[in-house]
Amino acid sequence: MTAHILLVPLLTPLLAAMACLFAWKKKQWQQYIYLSGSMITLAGAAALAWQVLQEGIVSIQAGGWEPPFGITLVADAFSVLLVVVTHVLGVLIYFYTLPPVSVSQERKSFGFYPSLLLMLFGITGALLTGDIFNLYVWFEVMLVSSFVLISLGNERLQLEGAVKYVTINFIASALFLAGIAILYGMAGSTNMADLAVRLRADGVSDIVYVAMLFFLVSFSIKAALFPLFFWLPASYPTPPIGIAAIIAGLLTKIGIYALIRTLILVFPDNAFVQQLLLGMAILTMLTGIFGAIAQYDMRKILAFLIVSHMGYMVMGLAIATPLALAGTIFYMVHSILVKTNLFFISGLVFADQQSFHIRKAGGLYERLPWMAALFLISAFSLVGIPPLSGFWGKYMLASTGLATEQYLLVGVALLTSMLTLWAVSRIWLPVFWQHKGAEKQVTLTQGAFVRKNRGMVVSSAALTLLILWLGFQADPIVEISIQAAEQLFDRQAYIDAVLKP
Amino acid sequence: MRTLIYVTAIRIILPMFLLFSLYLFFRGHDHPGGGFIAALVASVGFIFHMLAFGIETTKVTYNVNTFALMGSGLAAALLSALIPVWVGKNFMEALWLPIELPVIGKLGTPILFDLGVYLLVVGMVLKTAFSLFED
Amino acid sequence: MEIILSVVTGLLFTISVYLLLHRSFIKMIVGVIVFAHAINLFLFIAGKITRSMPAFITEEEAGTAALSDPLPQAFILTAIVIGMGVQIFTIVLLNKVHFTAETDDLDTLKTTDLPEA
Repeated sequence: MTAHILLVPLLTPLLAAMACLFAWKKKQWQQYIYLSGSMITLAGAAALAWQVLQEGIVSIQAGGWEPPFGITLVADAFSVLLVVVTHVLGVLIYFYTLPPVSVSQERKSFGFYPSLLLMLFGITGALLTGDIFNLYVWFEVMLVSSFVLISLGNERLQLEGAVKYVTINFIASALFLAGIAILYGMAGSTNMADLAVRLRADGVSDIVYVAMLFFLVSFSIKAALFPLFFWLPASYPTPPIGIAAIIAGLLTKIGIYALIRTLILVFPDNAFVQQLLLGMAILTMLTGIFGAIAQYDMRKILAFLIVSHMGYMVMGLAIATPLALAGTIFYMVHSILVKTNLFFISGLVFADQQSFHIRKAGGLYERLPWMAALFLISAFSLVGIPPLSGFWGKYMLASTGLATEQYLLVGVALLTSMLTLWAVSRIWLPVFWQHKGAEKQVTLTQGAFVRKNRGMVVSSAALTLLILWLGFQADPIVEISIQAAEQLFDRQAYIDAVLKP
Repeated sequence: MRTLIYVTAIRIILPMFLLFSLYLFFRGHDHPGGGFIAALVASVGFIFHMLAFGIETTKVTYNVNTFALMGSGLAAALLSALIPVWVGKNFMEALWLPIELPVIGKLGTPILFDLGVYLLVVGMVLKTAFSLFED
Repeated sequence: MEIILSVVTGLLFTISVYLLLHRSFIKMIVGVIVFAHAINLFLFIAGKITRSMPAFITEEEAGTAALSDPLPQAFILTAIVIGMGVQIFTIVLLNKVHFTAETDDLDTLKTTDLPEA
């Protein structure tokens, strides 16, 4: 019965979203519901993570059907780690979106909170499901709510971004469904553990690789990998910064999660796909970072940085040793926190300077030195300067890369790191460092600015503390990452946990 | 669209739509039908009403709160999933009441779940229709 | 039967891709809808078509009656429901875009891709 703890982080967001729908006209109530719901979810996620890390994989069968027939919900170390990180952000985003500059009041009374809760619900479901068709359903729950979030407010730019985002994601989901269709036609099952057994049996036809490519293309679109990333810089910078931050931080990582889950667990190894991933990792890192260097809008620079750093996560998957995958998992956690925080800080810059354009904002080091410190910590962490969190992820990835003699890949990864320094210094120099005396009319004093945007400052500071903790106390998360990676490669244990409860 | 024949006919047709939707709803467990199709039929009835009388009349006449509909749909579905956990069965396991009613048949958590789907879909389709008609 | 349906699926894919590559909003909406139908039909064929009884049987009939697999149909139903949600959203979205940007040409929606001066 203790396995039912799995339902707490899964169902609490749905329950809260439902309560928000009843309180549609009362924004204040929705805020209370969101806050309490996200707190309970985080507590539930932490309890679930504790249980999984102590006792191994937790699984329950919906409807009480025998394992390969019903829908299975599974929590292993990899998924609970991401569930906890997701809901940490779920709580922080509440405080970040309190000041109207990050998400306007009209948007909050037009379904911001229920959509956000449903998106968190979809993400949690996608992370906890053990059934491939069910994964599709959770992806759709997550995507439809993110569609609503991205287009909430109906501003022209937002709508333009939303058209691209909705269409490309619709195509990606349809391709995913086609992959599922082929798998079901071949193996007659959609349970991931059951598929892992059946697709590795002797005499499986080569059509499985067609399905594999469908999955690869679909998740590459969702994770914004080269050459399918173009929608991301066109749509992520368009919504209000509070919405952009949570979407940018989380959604692409769920694509990578699904890629790792299906490629490692479900499909048999394939040398061609490994080579393909290798090439995609290299090109994703390079195109992303060159895009970032060419942009002038802070949000667009950050959007291209997301693309570029997805390459590191694919790098670990392409090398496909347990340590490399541990590096990927650590990097995912690091990347979710750091990218979100960079978006948070760009929102703070906007709150002060009324512009995201790097040439229009300026002189913040002088005016608000603490904000410069927050930015510097996150930016250095993204670059990977020791002892900040990015360093440990990159170190794990690069050292396994060297051990497996992927010199080109490691070389590109290090080059991208250096270019990342260039990209973030393109924000740092004009926006923070440069003196912009008389051209900029600044009305608020420092204290007044903090009071006005208290929620944004607090959540950004909290996230920065988390990033520092992840850098200076990397051991526990590194250990969990290694445990998660080993669990991923120990397919038999997963299969046993699901099929023989 | 507002011809006399249409406006008069819709008064009679709307109850028939709703009745047919109920029929589809209860038939759904073992035959073609079910919450989703039934909800579509019901919402088509309301959309016809909107075409005939205009959106304001429909809103005032039936006083539908689409968000409350969606919320109660989610609540019903969630309840049907959690009642089995409450009595110690598996999450979402089907529970049936021992009595059998005439016409309707057996009652149980799957019906409750379908009711959730029904309310959610009616709420969603009507919400979309309202926002499209308002433009 | 499989061959006919396969050809139809192929045709639907062709039509939908052709429509999706157009610039008009309406053609894009129709393209999205046809694409969803093509995928659903694909799912149906890949799940192996059998002309036989639905899988509602009594215990005595189990193992004796030829049954068709209900799962692909359940998948398709789910996909249809989800597809309908997404399609409705697309229509409402493009309707809003049409009123906000006063255009029905997708090529004019590229300000998010242009570099700012």
